[in-house]
Amino acid sequence: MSEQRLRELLGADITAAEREAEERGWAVVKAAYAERAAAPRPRSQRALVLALAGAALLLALLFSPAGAQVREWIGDVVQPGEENAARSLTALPAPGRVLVTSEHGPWIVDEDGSKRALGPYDEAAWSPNGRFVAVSRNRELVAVVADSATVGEPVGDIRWSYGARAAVRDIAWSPSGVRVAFHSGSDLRLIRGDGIDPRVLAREVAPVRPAWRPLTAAERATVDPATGIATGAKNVLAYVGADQAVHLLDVDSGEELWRSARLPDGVRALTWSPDGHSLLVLGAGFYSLYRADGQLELKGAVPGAYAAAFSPMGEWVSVIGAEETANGARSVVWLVDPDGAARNRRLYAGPGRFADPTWSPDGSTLLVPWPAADQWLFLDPAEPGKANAVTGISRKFDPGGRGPAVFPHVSGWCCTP
Amino acid sequence: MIPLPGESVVAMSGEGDAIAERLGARWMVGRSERKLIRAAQGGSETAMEELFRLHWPRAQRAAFLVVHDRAAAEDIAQEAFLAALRALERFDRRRPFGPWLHRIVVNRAIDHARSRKLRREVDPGEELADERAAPADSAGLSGELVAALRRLAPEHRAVIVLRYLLDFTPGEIAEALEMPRGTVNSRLRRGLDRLSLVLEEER
Repeated sequence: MSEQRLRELLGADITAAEREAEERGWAVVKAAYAERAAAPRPRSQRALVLALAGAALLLALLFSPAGAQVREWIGDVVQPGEENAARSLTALPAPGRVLVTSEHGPWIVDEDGSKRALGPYDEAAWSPNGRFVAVSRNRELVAVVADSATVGEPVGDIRWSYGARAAVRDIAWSPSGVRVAFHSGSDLRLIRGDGIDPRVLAREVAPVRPAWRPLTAAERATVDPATGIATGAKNVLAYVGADQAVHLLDVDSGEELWRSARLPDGVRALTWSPDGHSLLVLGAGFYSLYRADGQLELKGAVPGAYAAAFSPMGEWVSVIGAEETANGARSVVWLVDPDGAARNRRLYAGPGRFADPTWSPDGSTLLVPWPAADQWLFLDPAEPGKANAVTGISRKFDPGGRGPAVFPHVSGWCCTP
Repeated sequence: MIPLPGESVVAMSGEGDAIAERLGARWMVGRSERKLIRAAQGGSETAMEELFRLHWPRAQRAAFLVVHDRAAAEDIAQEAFLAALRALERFDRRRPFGPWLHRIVVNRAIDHARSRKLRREVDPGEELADERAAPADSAGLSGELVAALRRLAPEHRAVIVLRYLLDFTPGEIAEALEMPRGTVNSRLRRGLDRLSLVLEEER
């Protein structure tokens, strides 16, 4: 059989049944697309994609006993947003500084609510001790001063910059302070924390932000107080490769420590437990939990879940998922006890989509951005259903703007001791 | 014939050998696709639909040719598009969308075919049902061709489908299926030979 003949046979005309299937397919995709488009998306937000067509939050079933005990505040909420939200961000409810990336660039919000713009950059990530912020502007990776008191230079001053071949995104500064990983095009690249010695770690990687393994207690003891550098730390990075598997790489030796089996498509986030003992992989409708040695500890289905974060002390994993109700989709924040299901609790729920949650460095507060309400929610893990909200968030990071402001992305709350 | 994305562009271009036409088509498709993806990322349902219509026919056909089950093929194609939608915001527009989508489709189809084979091994009843269903459903394709493909392992079918329906190069197939390029070439050669043989036998 000739190749041409085979092409002709395989490419035979579409049948009526295939046309019908196409229409059914389009109906499904269209609905999912409409749901995705309903939530405002900041231009620079590279984090988790929120839409899941018709998915229900299985967590609600798994953990419903805890949820049943809390006040049913959800049904009362018709319009997105807390009614009694503060109009001004006069102070953060917990110590530290919040890094926010708006359409016009990143900002640092201090504990007293004051804000400082860093410049016209696209993405931002804290250095481990908050002295610097790594930012990107198209193909350029730049380190700017974030703490003038310790660095001795003005906030926003450029310390170093590096020009990559393709657009820089998904920046992750290593906990030791001496390495910065990032995506450039489809490459996973690495540069030293002082802006030299760039190199490619892997090609054609999945568009999932790489995750550095946190420092061990012994490694934390090697941190030089003068520089904030952990001189005795290993730099170990987890990333999702072209093979849709998680790879754990010692970037200093180049040794691949382990590689998972191929995961289903749609891995969204890699999150380490603070002690570095576990790596949580959250995907579209599934999760896998690996031990640091690569052994798979747990895996399961979590339809609707789209964001997860360990609290700084590791006592909670916050999980956000979408839930379908008669009144439309709403988001639910769960706190899951990683040691067992006994204390799992449903912390908050509201219509529309929540964005990625961020824990305060002391673990006392969970910041949940709520784009549909243009609010930030500060949630106390000990008080389910209660939120301290601040409204008008978009305009706060677009002062003087005339058109509609884009809801900003929270890039981190610095810094866990 | 099922339309190749960009085929109308080739038709307009007039002269030129087949390879140049295909390369030209790919380039034009790549350029227009980037525009569509940008628009879809910005919230244009029209652009999203155009992307969908551009790639659905081949996605569905490819899945069917690997799994030989029309309903499963429809599910696989739908899932692939939903996966693409979820990744849309993060999608690097400089990368071609079609090959990425089709790679998802074919790998999922292989997984499906393998899992069905596994089920047949533990439940012979499934095999009987499967065999009975097979001859009736060729989804508009040559029944002989579908039957001949059916005799190949799913991984072999996938190589044929990627090459002769989706126009992947052997190098791209090797990357998509994570196998050495030499294996791809030998499977293509053997696949063609076996298809010729089976189709000859049927006659």
